[in-house]
Amino acid sequence: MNNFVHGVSRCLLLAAGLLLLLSVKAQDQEKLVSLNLKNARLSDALNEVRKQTDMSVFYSVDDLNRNPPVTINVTKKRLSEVLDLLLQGTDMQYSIEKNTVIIKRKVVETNGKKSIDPVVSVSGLVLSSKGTPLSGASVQDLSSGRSRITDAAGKYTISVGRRTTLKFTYIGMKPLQISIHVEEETVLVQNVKMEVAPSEMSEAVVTGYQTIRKLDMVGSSATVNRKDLFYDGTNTLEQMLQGKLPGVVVTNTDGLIGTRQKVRVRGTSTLLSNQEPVWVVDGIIQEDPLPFNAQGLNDLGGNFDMIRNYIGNGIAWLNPNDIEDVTVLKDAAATVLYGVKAANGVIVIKTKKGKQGRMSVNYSGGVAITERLNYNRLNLMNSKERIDVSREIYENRVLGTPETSAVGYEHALNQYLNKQISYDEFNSQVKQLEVMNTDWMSILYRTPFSHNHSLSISGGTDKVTYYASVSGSEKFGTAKGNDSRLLSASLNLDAKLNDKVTASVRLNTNYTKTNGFYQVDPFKYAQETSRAIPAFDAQGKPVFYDRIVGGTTYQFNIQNELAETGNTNDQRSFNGNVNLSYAILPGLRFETLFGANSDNAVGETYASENSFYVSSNFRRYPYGAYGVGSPEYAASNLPHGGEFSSTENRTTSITFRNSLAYNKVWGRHRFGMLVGEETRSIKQNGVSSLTYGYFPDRGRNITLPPRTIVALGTGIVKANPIYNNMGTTILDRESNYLSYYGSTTYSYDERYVWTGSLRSDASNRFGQDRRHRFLPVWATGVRWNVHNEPWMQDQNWVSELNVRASYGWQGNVAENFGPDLIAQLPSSVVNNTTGEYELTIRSLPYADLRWEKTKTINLGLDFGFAKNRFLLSVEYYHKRTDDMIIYKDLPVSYGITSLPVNAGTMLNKGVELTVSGTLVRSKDFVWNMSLNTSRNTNSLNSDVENTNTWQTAASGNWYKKGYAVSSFWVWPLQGLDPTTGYPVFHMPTKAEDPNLTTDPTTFMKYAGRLDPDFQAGISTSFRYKWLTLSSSFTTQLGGKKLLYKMFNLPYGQLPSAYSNLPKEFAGRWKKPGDEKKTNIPSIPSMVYYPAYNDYYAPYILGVPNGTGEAEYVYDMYNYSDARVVSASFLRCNNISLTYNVPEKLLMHTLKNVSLTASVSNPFIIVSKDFKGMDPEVATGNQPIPRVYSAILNISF
Amino acid sequence: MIGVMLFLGLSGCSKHFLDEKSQDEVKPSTVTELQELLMGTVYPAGQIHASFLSYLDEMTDDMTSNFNPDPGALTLYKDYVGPFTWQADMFETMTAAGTPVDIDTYDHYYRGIMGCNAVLDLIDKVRGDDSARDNVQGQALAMRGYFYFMLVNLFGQPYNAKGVDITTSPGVELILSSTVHDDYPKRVSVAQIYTQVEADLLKALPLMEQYGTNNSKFKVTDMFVYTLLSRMYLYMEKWDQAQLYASRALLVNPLLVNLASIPYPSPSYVVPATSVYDITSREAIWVGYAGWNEYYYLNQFRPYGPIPFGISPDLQSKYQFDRLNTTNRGDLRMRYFYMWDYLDANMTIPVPIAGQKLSQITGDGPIKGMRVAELYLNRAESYIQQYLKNGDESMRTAALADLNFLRSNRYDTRNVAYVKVDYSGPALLDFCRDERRRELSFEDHRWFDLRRYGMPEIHHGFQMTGGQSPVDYVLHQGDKRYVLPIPRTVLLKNPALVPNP
Repeated sequence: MNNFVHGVSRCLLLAAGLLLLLSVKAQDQEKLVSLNLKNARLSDALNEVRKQTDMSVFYSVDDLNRNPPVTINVTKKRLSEVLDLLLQGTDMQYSIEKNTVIIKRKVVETNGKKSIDPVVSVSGLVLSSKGTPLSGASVQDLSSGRSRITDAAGKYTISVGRRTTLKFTYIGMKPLQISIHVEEETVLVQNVKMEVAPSEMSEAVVTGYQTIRKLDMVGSSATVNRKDLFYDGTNTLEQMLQGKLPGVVVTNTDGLIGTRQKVRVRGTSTLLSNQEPVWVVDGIIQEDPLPFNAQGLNDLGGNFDMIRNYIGNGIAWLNPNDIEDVTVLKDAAATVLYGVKAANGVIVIKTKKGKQGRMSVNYSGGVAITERLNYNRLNLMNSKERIDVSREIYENRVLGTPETSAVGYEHALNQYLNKQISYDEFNSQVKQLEVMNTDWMSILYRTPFSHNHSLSISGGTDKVTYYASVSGSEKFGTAKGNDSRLLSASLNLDAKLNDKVTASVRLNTNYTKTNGFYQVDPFKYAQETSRAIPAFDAQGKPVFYDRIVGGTTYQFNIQNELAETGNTNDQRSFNGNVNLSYAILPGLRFETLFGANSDNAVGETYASENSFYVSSNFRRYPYGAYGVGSPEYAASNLPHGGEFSSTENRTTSITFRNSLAYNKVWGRHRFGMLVGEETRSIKQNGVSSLTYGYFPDRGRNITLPPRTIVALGTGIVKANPIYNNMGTTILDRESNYLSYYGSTTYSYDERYVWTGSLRSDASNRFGQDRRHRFLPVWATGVRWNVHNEPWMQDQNWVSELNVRASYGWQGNVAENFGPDLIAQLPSSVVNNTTGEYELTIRSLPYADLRWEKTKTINLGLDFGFAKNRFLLSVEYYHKRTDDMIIYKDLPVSYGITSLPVNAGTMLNKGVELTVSGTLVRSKDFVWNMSLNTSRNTNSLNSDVENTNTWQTAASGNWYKKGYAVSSFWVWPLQGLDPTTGYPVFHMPTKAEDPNLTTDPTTFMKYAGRLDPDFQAGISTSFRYKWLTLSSSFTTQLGGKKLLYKMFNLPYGQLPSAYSNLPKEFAGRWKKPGDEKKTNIPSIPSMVYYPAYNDYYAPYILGVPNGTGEAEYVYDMYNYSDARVVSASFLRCNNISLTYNVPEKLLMHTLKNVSLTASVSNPFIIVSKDFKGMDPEVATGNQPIPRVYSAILNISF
Repeated sequence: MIGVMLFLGLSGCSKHFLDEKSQDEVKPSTVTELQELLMGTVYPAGQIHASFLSYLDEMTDDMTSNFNPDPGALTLYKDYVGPFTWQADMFETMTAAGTPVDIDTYDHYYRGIMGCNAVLDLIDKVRGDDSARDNVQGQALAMRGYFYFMLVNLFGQPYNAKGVDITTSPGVELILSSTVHDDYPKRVSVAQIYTQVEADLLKALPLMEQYGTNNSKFKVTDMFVYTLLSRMYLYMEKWDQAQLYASRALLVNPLLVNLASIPYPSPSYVVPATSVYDITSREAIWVGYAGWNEYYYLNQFRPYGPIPFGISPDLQSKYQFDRLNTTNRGDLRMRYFYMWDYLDANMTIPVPIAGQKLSQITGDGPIKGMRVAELYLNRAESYIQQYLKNGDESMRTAALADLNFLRSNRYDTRNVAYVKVDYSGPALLDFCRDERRRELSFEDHRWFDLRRYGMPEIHHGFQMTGGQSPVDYVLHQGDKRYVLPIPRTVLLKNPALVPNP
């Protein structure tokens, strides 16, 4: 389909100034014509001919009517005779091709001859530079204007005069002209090889709703080709896109396999709900397989969030090897046809389609080895350092509540103090603990081996092309127990049914299975657990240690816990779409697209009765501790079995889109128009259930817990409360959307372009404000193709220069809020106690809420030098959101936690720059480099008073006038107290600073913003003969971050013997004088307050509004300027070396063989303060691992 | 072909395609739906978070703490150390310790108030017959009054506090509409809140007298409004009014449960077959809130040995109870109103460990609310105060009649007849107050009673770990900590709130 459109646009280009219509149906015999005209204009005469013959006639009215009027009277003459008569004596000539008549001016021959009869038959093959035949290439005789298309084997035959020039054109190839100069021969063989056109920006931009010629594109978009994306078999599409598209920021949040990345297009534009871009595959919007916000229906608890993390997003089903290219649409003009939901940008993925020509088979596969995590990059204490902290607590009599004395130094000490062991035994135990150094990383992590395979077949004839692929992969995460398996198959068919109708079909099916974790997070455990706790005893048996919950002691071992719990998810999806295109009239085309996506995601989590989780939460005594007959057994909610929860979600989305496109060219004027209607329906069904009494190793049986229990201490026989947790929820939702859209484009002489677009949506969302139905979104833009100006034609340097400007308007309403009070059915509609039906309040009426209005201006400039060998593109955008809607936190006394309010304006400004070029190009050595950078500044002008706390200001969620979103404030650390080692802060008083208010930003210090100001991606590749070395880098500059919390303790609690501590805490304040050397405070100790006869943690009087609130100084330290670091980093995403086996070494059936060795995430350059940690993943999540991979690519 | 396409395209816009649709959302448009809204957002009975005040008795002289060296006891100490030692950050320490009961008292009452306000805002705009409409309106008004009454008594000075000007002393924020405004609500005076409570209750009373008499015990009834009015006037020391509304209620329902008619529970720790708050109990007026897990976590998982927190010896000494004398056990309330357990793993030393009016019927239902016994006590106290003021002997007799009637229903009268008590002068008032404590302990009355008795000094001895020595915590007479601190989470969300000192 797209090639077809390309073809049309290319032909239109060639025959500029002429109307053209394409037809393929062969014409066997010439039609007969009768004419009787007097002093008629030639155009009228030809029009009459057209009517009678039912043939298309092309001509330029201007050229034709320059000739005198004609008088003609013929009956039933053959068409060619009539045409001869009509054009006699004019400077026009005609040619008949199939059922098309082309009339054009005669080429003025230099030798004076009026015209030359075709006497030479030229034939030959049109081949690519690699020698593959090109079918569908156009061969044109410039003298006669006659043209031919090559067949499937790339063969052509054309009759020409003795002296002429043949022009060969093929999409994506450099046009080629060959002059023919023969004297005698009548048969000539002329084979040509065409070269790939230099890195020219693609000819058209596919937006999903329309294909816009690059020359007409007024909006902002960027495209990256699949071959420029690096896939090592373990990374996701989002990770592949990191740093590849200007304006798109991809942030990793976790290094686990199967988890999602955060994608932002051009910063944060709305504070409402979803900030992810819309993903589109082959024109179909992709829905998430799980409902985005199942509020109210997921009362069964957090299990389902766990599952959601492992179920991919709407594009997880896509095989990366099937992708042709990826386009991001950024500004309002580019995204307008997607309506309101495109406020966060649109990412359009085009999949591969078959090409005419012989069948080609491609295998691509690889293996990858992921590096195991180790303590070097984690900045954690070893056993000795950790024991030292515990010893100091005891020896310096640090006051506070100890969490436990079940393990570590505290355990040994407790035994000694209780006289269970001698002093010598105590010392030897401590010595042993100091060298324990349990390597949790090696116990919980591994160096796994992943592999992936993809096989595709493509080819076709001029009628039908096909592309089919199957792929499979097994990915293993470095955490033991985290893996993902994927199988997928896809088929793309494009067919030309007849000369008016084309059809294409896309089918894809996919199966993914992911295993993750439930209730235990290996990384969190490894990071937080003291290395002085043994994992195995001397006999190699796992060691269990005590953990006390609610007064009962349980035994815990992480490997046991991992073995007794689990999380498996599988997802099956089917995507299909059919696209029909019907040429009703010349220039008028009707298109219809029907797409269906069906997705089934099933997730299960479980914990067996042997797990600590089940023991401590439900059974409430250690496994096997009590038997039948004991009061504990009778009182237990779950005396046998474990927990099992499952969720199944079926999402079916149907898209049905009809559009009518009209394109017409009059001379230098080109006019295009599109109107369309779209209906979309998304149906989500699902069942989630949580049940107890599960036996994973006894035939996966579920034996329900007893209906009644005998409560301990009361003897009361009562309903088992575990049944309150159990239950099944059914999800049944349908979202319907009806949209209308339209777009119109006018261009003059390929130089000046204007476009305007509009879209309006309506939905069946409950409780909406009907006044806001059919909310329109519109955009308009202009473009000036400077390089097409006549005065630019005489130079060779600038091959491309255009300037673009667009403006768009968009309104957004807060979903789920309307002018009525909306009540909600709670998860159990009947109250078990009262027996009455119940409703709860979902949202209060909000009558005055105004639309959030976003106005976007985009300016762009593209430069191409030296036949586009060097390209430069600059974009500037200015996005202003008025009446921005935010969720304002409310005082508790309003009874609800937040409400949406219009809160002033937000301004996003940014510049994006893309530079790419071939720096060196010689036969054996080529060096390509491309760089894209973007800078976003964001400022808020909000008049809404914050109700939040200094913690909000410290976490980057304080919206302050004149400051960017994600600005944050910290406490200025004055130093350490010389006698206690407490962090010292100065809280200003009203007397010192009369401007002081309760606004924390007036007494805290501005620290910067969390989001980077500037981000860039750099890709470079060197090719030397058969070897190619490529690498890509991402950098983000200007952001600031707070380091992980040094003190993560509840008030007055001492560091727990279970937990490990940051390595730098070893350099803490220990004795007076240390405050000169370090700014790391001492171990938090409580202070005795005689007035209350009690011990309190050290506080400082807080917020200077006289309320006397006090802040815990150690908590303030966590958010002090001592913990602020620059989050700027440069990450090398990958380095790969590819060897293309030289063609001469290949057997002739093989077309191409290449081998790639690569490493992903080889290094990262980051502030020293991170102590080697990965700055990108939020503190506490697993770092992104390094991956070594080898990839084999064969095609034949 | 185009025609077919367009037809298909337009068939999508058939008239139901854009009908608003939701699986679980409703726009309330009938009185029935407003009643359902009351059930779901206002009445705590049967809700997951029905228990939101179960730290309050920890603060009274009904509770004591013992040191138990078992490491398991440490968790329990941490859970309740905040309220037990009246710490200014009691809510924060409970949150930090992860206390396994809901402590969001402040939020809870205001969520309920919002539900009442939402119903009252809509009441005239929905369909339904007028009797049902008035019934719903009366319930919403009465519940709003109840919530404000509880809030002002938890977070404001007592109405009768000495040396406090209740017209300026801060109460709580007064929100009377579900419409949210941009400004931060300020605390209004204690007197203003009382005025509102009185107005709401007096407006609700005729509505409930006419339409609410047949409401279930989970809902507001005429009895509910009488009881709350009598309690409110008692707190305001308007003795005649307190007496009046108690009498009006007792005209409707004077019945009490006779504990001697309930079989004596066996074995020793088992709860009685029925109790005063059972839905079938004839003295239950409002089966309101709280649940079986009230103080459950305090006892369920305790290590054997000394009880980390339990009922105070002072309270225990108020009862004349003999568990082992099967002919006459005396005051049965000791056995029936408290949870009993063993101090040792051998199940040989049964002791009362916490107050809980559970029974085998109560099961998962509420165990706090309103009952007829309170009406007798309210009326007796009103009589006594009037008697002490003007020496009216008939008032004294009336008070003794009420108290003896209540006690006769609480004593073991199977084999031995109940012996009437006779007091006069201040001793009668003391006896009445002790009787109130015996009868209404662990029903969230004691804290408020202590406040209106002049906020006496209380001692709580407490030791958390073996390393510490026991500390004697003192709540002084008239201590400012007799007013609960406003939780920090609440203060942070409203800068206009003045914290309690």
